[in-house]
Amino acid sequence: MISKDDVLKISRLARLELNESELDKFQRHLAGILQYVEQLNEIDTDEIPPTSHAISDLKSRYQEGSTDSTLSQKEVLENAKEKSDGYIVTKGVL
Amino acid sequence: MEYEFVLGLEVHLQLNTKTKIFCWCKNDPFYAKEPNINVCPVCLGLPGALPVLNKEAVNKSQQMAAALNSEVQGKIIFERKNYFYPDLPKGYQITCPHYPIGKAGAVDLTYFYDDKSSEKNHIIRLREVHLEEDTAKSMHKNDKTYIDFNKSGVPLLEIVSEPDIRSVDDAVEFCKEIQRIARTLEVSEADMEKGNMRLEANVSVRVKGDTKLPDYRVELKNINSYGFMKKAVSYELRRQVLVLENGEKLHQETRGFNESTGETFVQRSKEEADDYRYFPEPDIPPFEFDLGETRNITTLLPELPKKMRADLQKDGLNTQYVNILLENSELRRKYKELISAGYSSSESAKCVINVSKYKGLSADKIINEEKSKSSSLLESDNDLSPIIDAVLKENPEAVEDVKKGNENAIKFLIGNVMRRTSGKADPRKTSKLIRKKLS
Repeated sequence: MISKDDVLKISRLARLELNESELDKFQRHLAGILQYVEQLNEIDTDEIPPTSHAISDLKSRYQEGSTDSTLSQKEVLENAKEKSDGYIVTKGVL
Repeated sequence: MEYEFVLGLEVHLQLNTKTKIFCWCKNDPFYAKEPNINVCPVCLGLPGALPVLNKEAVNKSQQMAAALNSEVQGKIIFERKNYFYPDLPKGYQITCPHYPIGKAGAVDLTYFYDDKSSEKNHIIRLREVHLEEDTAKSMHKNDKTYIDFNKSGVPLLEIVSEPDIRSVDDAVEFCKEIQRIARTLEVSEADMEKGNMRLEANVSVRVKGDTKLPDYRVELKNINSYGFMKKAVSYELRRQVLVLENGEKLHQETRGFNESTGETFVQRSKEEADDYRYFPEPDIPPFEFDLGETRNITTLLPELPKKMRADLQKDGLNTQYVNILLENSELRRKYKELISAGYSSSESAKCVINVSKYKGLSADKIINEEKSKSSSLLESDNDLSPIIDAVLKENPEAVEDVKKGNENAIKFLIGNVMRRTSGKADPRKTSKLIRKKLS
């Protein structure tokens, strides 16, 4: 069973605040998910290469030509709560 | 007890592609006239925006990997590296450290040490070379952070060494060699001052002779000059040796360097270490490359610094000249042009490096100047004679001194002739003629 500390760590990494009852709830939910996935361990996968993407024959493509997707500075700043001289301003992080 | 460094470096290079790594925005973080003008939904991390890989970034990364003797991989898979910081609004960086551009590799610095008598090993192995997106630029002032997304999404190549570096000198040479190779391939300006080349060092120490790697390492981040690296790394070596000699244990941590005190300080300890929760980037399927194509990359590489240096040394130049020419492709090109115009290697190197009035001139102009200098040299007695006569007449005292056998007086008179002819008189001829006239 996943520990409470693990749940706390995950919530901290996701910047989510959980109260005591939520902590219990998510501990149960996460344990259930892990148990379900745990069933895969019954299969021998030693010879099977890891799958990175669900659709295995999907091939990626490069940029082609050029698209004018660049936004104007005004558009870039539109959703920012605070802006100054063309910059997006946030709480100090230093 | 004697201790030694166990040092690994991570070198970040911004690639000089036309567009950014995952979108069509202009890659121009340093010359953009204003902040936030080369920005689109992809580099801003807006919901629903989809990244599309830039082929030029892959090609340049593969060239760089090949030049570093790394095995160019047939498959790369991008992943999400999750962390929160305002310079990365998506909450993750797209990167490919586990299925990278190149695996292994080595930078052989042996060629850079003239003293080959020592059995020192100057081969630094690489772990891998991978490609990722740069983050936005943040500036901190008045308790606020100001963010410019012009840098967000610039292709960033990360070159990760094994902890093979044993001296500060090797650390600097390792970075300089990567810088030289990047500039030779023209994939990055690799300018530390500007910030398109950045370093991180992982420093630990062990008792000399030990073969096991220490069970901790101290990360030094945001190193932005060689001077900074030398100071920070040397300080760490002293600090760590002191801790060990006191019988204490060292821990995994991230430290910063304070330039004014010359000391490093703890930024983050192991308990707070990041958990990046890597997983495959679902928006970018894997990239596969034709094996023939990846093999071809090595054969198509231009001449690399190692070979250049060997050639310059074969030309018989001294180490100082060799190093200057190696660092500067412009001077090297001029040097080669002068050589092919028939000048000797020492003359060519001197003209290109030492003659201050030739600075900034093209090789053609230097050759012209050199030609006009030699052709206009006043050599014939008929040209020199009247000038010498005039100088002798103006300096009767010096003439008397010469007659008394004073060699300095002769030099004084030659100097006068040279001045009058703006340096075009042949000094040997002049000396001979003066002696003849006064004998």
